[in-house]
Amino acid sequence: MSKKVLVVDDSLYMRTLIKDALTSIGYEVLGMAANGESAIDMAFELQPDLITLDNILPDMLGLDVLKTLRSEGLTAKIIMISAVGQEAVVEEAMKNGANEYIIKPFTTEQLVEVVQKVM
Amino acid sequence: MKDDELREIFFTEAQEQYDELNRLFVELEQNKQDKQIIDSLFRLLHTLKANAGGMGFEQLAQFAHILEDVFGEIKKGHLHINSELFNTLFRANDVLGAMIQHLKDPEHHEAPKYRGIKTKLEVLVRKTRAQATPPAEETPASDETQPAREAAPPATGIPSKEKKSRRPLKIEDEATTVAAEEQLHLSDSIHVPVKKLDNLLNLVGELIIEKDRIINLYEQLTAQRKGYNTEMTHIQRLTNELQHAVMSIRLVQVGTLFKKFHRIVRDVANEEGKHVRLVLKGMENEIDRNILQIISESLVHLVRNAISHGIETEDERVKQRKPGQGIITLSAETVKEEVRIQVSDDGRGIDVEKIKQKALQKGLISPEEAKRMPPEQLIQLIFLPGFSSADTVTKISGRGVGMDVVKRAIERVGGQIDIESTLGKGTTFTLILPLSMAVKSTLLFQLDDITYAIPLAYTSAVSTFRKSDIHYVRNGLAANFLGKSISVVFLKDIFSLKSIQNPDKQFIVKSFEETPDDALFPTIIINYDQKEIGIIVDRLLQQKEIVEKPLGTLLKDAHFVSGATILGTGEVCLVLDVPGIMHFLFKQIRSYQNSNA
Repeated sequence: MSKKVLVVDDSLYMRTLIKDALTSIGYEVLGMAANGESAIDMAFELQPDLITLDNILPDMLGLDVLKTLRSEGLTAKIIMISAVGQEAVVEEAMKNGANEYIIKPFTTEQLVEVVQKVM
Repeated sequence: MKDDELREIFFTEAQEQYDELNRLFVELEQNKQDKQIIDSLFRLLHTLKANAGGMGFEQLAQFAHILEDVFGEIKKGHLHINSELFNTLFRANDVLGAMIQHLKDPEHHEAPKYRGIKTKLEVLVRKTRAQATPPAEETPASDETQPAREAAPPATGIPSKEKKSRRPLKIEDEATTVAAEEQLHLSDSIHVPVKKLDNLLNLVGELIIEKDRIINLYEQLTAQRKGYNTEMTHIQRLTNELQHAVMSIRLVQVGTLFKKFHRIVRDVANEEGKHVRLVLKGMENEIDRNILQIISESLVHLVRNAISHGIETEDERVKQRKPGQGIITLSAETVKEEVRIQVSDDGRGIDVEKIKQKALQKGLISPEEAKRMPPEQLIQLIFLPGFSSADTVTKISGRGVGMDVVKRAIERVGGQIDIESTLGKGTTFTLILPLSMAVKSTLLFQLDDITYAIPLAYTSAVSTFRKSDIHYVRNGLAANFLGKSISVVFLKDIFSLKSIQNPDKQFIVKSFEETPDDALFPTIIINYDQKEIGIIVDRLLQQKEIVEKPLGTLLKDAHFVSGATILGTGEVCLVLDVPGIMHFLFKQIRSYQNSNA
């Protein structure tokens, strides 16, 4: 069975890029969220195997999403996406239950590599 | 107290709190700076949180807690309500309501998605607190540590220093008061689950039936004596008082339902992009709780309709020199044993001509009928099944609930619905409802030696016709009654039909033709839907208050009978389903006309 993914990013461009990359390696993108609130609700509703989570969202930080997901017992693998120069975020994310991280900008190949590492 | 009782009380209260939250939210939207509203919201959420915590509803408690925190920040002036925040809060309130519904009845109400919005609010509170904490002043203690503030009366105008110095004093005060009073005060009213009241009323109903039997027996045994002796009179009076006492416990103010409409009107008006104000009148009028529950959906439907079809857009209204804001009025008044609830709008009114065209188009009436029908009958066509499948489906009104469904719900509680409309001025729906469903005033009559009851709510008069008073018309029989020609029909002919779907075409004149020329016909004049029909029976008996019982599931498909009661003689007495009979008759009359046409 193909792995199910939830993509969280406020930019349509990034969402599309990530979706294409993951679909190309046989993953199924169940849903895409553009803000923290719907990201959290969709995570519990769709129960994906993997979540790619951008840190800067319009209503909250990806870190906030991460904390809620983990404190409510969600076990999906979570890859934190952060921008260059935000290394503190990465550290904080890994402490709070992220499985991997990737720094923007990244290529499709880099993303696939990180994904395959955690899954 | 038993756990399930506590649970019921919690939910009753939670529902009230949620209604109140909704009302306050609507008010807050108009006055975003109103401190009193914010205080009330804060307090309500605090109570709800504490109660939910007590019940072990952790998710609900936590959710109320975060909302309480947000209002705490707003109270402190750290957070300003703009429309974006307001919308989030409004949505959060919806989630809160859905959580309560889900906890109460998980089978019918899905668990709402709450985690996303909860995190959003948490982040908001955290950010606000981080920004707002001034270095030296108050420590950012959570609200949990300051319950005293909430208990204190709203102190105004007292400089903060003085307030601080007063606090310990206040606590001492309270301590001495408690010590001085040995008795603790409990609330003067108690919550009782409706189920218990239903049961009580049921028992009273049985008691009344037994009382009638005893009095009946007594009369037979002491046939020589006239009237009751004192004991019988006492029993009669006590049971009557008991019945009324129990019925009055079940009465609730219509305001409990009306208040919920602030939110509904706001939402629908927003959805439709209209400017609407809700006016509530006669909130203190009382009605049986179950009746109110059953008609609530109809009322929602009428109000939605009034906004989406009745009220015009602001531009349109201004063009017609009306105030830009439309007005929906919900009012109630008690007239004798009836409660009249009206839903009015000051909108465009109903175009009777359009109704006629639509009914013709859908084949609900024939062209001849259309010509003959006066406007007040044409407008009634909106209540026909199949009429109100709207051509334009909006998000609000296009729900597939027709006016026929509304009408049926109201008839189910023994009520009637009426409509009045003036083009350009507005429309008013009037719901005429009984105060109580439990006891019905009826008229007893006999047919083939069997006693039946017909609810007085539908009867306008009784009369006795001679055979010569009655004449043939092309679709049956008619008689002159008070200067008007009304249709008459023998109930016997309806009851002896072999098939209701395909009745024998001549059934309506059968009994008439078989009776001798000097026969007298006791007739009950029924008034239904602005139409009068005379129902001919064998013998009219007396008026009687009865306790109607449903027929039960085995007989749920029975036609023309809505329920049954037991008479003093021990005889089972069926209660006529007047709307059912009238619908059947109108259908027959229409089909004759159409086949003759």
